Amino acid sequence: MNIEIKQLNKAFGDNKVFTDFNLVLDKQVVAVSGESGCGKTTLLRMIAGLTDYSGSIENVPEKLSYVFQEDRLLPWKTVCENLAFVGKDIEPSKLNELIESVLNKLGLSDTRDMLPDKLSGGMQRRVALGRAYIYDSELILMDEPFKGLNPEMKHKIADEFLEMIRASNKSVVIVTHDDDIIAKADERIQIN
Amino acid sequence: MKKYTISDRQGVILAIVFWVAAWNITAVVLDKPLYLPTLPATLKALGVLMTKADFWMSILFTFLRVISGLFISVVLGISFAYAASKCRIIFYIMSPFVSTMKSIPIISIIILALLWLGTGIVPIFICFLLCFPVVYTNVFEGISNVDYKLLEMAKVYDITRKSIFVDITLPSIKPYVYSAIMICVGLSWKSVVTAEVLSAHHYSLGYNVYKTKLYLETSELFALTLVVIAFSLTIEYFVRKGFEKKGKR
Repeated sequence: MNIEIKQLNKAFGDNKVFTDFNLVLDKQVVAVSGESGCGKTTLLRMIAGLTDYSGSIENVPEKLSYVFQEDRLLPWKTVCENLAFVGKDIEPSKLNELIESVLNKLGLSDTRDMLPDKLSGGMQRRVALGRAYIYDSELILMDEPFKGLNPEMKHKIADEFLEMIRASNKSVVIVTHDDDIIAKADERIQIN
Repeated sequence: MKKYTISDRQGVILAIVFWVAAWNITAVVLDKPLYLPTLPATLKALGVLMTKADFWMSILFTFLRVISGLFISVVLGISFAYAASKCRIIFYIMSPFVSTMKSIPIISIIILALLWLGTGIVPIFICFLLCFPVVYTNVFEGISNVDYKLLEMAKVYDITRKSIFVDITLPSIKPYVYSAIMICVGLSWKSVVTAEVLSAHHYSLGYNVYKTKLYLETSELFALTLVVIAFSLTIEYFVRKGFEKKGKR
């Protein structure tokens, strides 16, 4: 990953969130932190092309995954179907293998045929992480991805997920308040 | 103190028994079969009707008209609602039509339709005019309420338009389509039979209703009304079962 953010400006009405903001994201696992309302989520959304801005954000991969603050799972699809939903470009046999491996690594094997509303909040979060991983992207943007998990589960899932990332050619940008997660990153960026 | 609870099924049976009993007691007390026939008199009239081939032909043709009107309304209602949600011009063009159809007196349209169309088609046309706005409005609202967060997720993951429609839009609007169809089932029987009364097509329940007026056969009128209610409830039942089956995982 080598994302270059140059002269970025963004305002919501009179509220200027970014003024001539510059940043380079070039490590595999980057954590972005900062006070509430400083624009962390907005930064992710601008990188993903979901929010407009002035300035430039360069070298963003064409395909990227996004773990939103909410899980955004399709409530009428099972865990497996939610994961397969983003893998339609992948050959079916490879996709099945990938889904199995992700389910195992994220401790979701027993939930494959369950609908999201039958899962705990932590499980739904893991499905959202799995979906982001399965999508054939080089970059995963994550907005408070481990929020709502108990401390033990948080470390377990974060370690396993980041291990999967480090074993792949993917990079992640994690927006978080959580010092434990920030400590796991290769680079820490504080936005004021 | 012991609490007594009743199931939904028991509640429905209780309600039916209550209203049928209320009707029959009123009819017996009133003792004017021309105004209000008793339940046995109505069942007897129904029994006589059931021996006539014309009666069954009338049910068949009325049923086909109802199904045709309903099917056309649902297909066009969903199609136009989807088109209007994607194209503002279509939405603006459709708005006055839908608003007018919701408030226009049904009798005015039937009389006009009788001038324009053949008597066999008028009931289907009237059914469409009454049901289409219900389907269109419900489905349009459903499409407008599709969770934008899911659509945003689909955009990030580069999901195709077809897949967004099949996997997000259709499941999201399902409750709205269900609700529209349930409303339209009753509406379609009412509108078709009303239009048939005025268009007086030989093979139709409406024509049979019209004849009861001519010959003051009130018990037969009640029997025909029971038939319409029974068919309407049967279709509602199958629609409900169909949606429940599709909704089960």
